[in-house]
Amino acid sequence: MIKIKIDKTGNIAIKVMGVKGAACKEVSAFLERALGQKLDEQLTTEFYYIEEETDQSGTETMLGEVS
Amino acid sequence: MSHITKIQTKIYNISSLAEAAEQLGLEFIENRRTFRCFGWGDTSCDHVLKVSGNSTAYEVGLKLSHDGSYELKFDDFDGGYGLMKKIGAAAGLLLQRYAVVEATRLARIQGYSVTESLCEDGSVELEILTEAL
Repeated sequence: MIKIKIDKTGNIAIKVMGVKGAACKEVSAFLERALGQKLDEQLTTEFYYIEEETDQSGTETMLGEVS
Repeated sequence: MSHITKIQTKIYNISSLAEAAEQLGLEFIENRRTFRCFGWGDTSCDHVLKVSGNSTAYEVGLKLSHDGSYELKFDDFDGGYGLMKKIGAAAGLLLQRYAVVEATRLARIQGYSVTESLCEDGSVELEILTEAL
């Protein structure tokens, strides 16, 4: 699955889940090439995503904000 | 291992921009070379977005840049007399809607299904599913 979050300023965070190894980069390459200028990229683990995705209030956090 | 990529939206696809603009209540005027604003500065452009049904609102000029992207030119004085409500501060809502339209189009070309949802903070989230993943 690819999740994309686009905020009200036009900033985009693209998250690829469930793909092992370097193939995860290929999955989203077609979006990253076409949507604009890459600002940052972080490699992370599936566990890290689960921790990041929902805060204690149950609301979604902005993808990619956690350093 | 997976990854997160952050991108600042740049407008490359004028058709997707026209569709995004229409969804926000703006009209795409192809090949109009000046846009309505207070009148100072360079008002030259390649295409124009105007607020539908509002002849007094300022307009957005779309200017093709050297890298193939379109620069958004507009005057936000006094809310652009209705323009800024449509496109958001610094045209953020227009960029957001463009990114949604373009990402959805690109995903569907790949044969993926796309689900769009609106978050409480005004962000838009797309879930792109494919049997291959």
